[in-house]
Amino acid sequence: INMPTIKLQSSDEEIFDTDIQIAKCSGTIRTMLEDCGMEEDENAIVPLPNVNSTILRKVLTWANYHKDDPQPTEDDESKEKRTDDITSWDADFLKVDQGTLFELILAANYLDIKGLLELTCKTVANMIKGKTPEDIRKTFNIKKDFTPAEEEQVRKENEWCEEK
Amino acid sequence: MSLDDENVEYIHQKLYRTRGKCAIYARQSDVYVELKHTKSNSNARTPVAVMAGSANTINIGIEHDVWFHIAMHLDPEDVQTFGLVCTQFARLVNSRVFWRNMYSRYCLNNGSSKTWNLQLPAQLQLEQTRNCDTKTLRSLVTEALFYCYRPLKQRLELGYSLDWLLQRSFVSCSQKKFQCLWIVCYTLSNQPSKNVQFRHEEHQKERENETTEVVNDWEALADDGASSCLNYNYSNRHEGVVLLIVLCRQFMPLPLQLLYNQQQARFRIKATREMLCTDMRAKNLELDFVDDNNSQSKLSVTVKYSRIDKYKVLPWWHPDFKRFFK
Repeated sequence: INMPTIKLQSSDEEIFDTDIQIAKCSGTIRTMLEDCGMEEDENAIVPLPNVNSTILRKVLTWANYHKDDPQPTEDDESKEKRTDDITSWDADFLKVDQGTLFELILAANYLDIKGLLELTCKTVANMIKGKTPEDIRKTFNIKKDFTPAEEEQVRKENEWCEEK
Repeated sequence: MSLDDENVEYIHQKLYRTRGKCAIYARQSDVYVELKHTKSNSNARTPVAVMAGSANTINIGIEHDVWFHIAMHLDPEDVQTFGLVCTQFARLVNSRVFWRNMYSRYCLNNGSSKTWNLQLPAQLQLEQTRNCDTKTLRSLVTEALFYCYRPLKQRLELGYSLDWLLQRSFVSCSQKKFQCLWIVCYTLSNQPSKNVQFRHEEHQKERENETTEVVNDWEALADDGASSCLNYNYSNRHEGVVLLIVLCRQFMPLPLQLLYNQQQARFRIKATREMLCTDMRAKNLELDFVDDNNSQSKLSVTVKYSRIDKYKVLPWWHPDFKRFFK
């Protein structure tokens, strides 16, 4: 069976011929197709100026693998988000450098793909787990810009997190 | 100076004096659009191409969006570590949206906002979190997490050690009799140091000065919420307070030196000792206080409770805290 396809154009002007069902994982693309009536037009090109071809390829790979997953409902969104329920395929999929991981977060946000956004954010949240603030700064190349008094104040405000 | 220049000067002066409220109508020739160069703001997006080439040198100052989403997926016990990374992260974990998200993830009844969560007392239900300021919201959600989030609940079950009292300032002490027991209650606080208060006062003065100036940069004014400096204010009077409850069978006088000292001393707990009695049937508790205000005099007070029944340390987020806190 020939699935209807759609053309997606990345920021570096590469065209991706994609199944409509897979492209519709993205809320942004779904809205564009519905609101602009592009679904019927076979030659229509959906421009995605905020996503480059490398990242769009990764996003489509993820969307293809998860195309049969149920769509998250509103209630699912507010449910407790566990950080330890990442499948092995997803874990392997996200074995990428930090730059790519952060770009995937931005792309998932722009394309409104809740599952991918959650997965990528969980992955970074897991990277933070068990680390000291100094470790986190080193891992993500972040500069410490606190005054000692400010740092002490943040520590005091969140002392309920501490175990003594 | 020409007549036109004088007019312009007069109009500027009048506008300045009345903070822009005077009824002066600009001539058509005076109205023009000028491109204003502003500093890059935190809401601006980085071009994706810039990030692609910088795998390990991500400019987090610009990548506010990414860290915002990551913050929304933090576990409660990681909040402090995350906030201690840099001021941007501290602001994220100090924002209203962060705490609302934390509440909806962990404290709603199966993710539903329509029904009450019966694990929570009435004062921590969703309605109570709606019309309060961010600081109050933060402390409400923190308290609610200790009812709903299992790892934090387990900490309550294990109890808090005397180490939680160390370095806290003495605030008050009271005693009352209940049946055959004397209940002594110490209130201790981790109130901000002098430096932070000073810094806060400075900010207050700066803000007062700012309000007296005529505002002509409306974009900056609109962006104030996002870029304002960390606002360190304890809005809830119990935040930062820890109670020590000691149960004794015999009457022990209150430590008057702490309560009515003449030298305006500010005592803080330097050390605590919990020792077994010689007959090994009860415990003694000792608290060492030192004076923070007079570093030269080195005034110190040791309070000894012998043969105590038991003690309990109750930080402000503990469900039993409000039963004892006055």
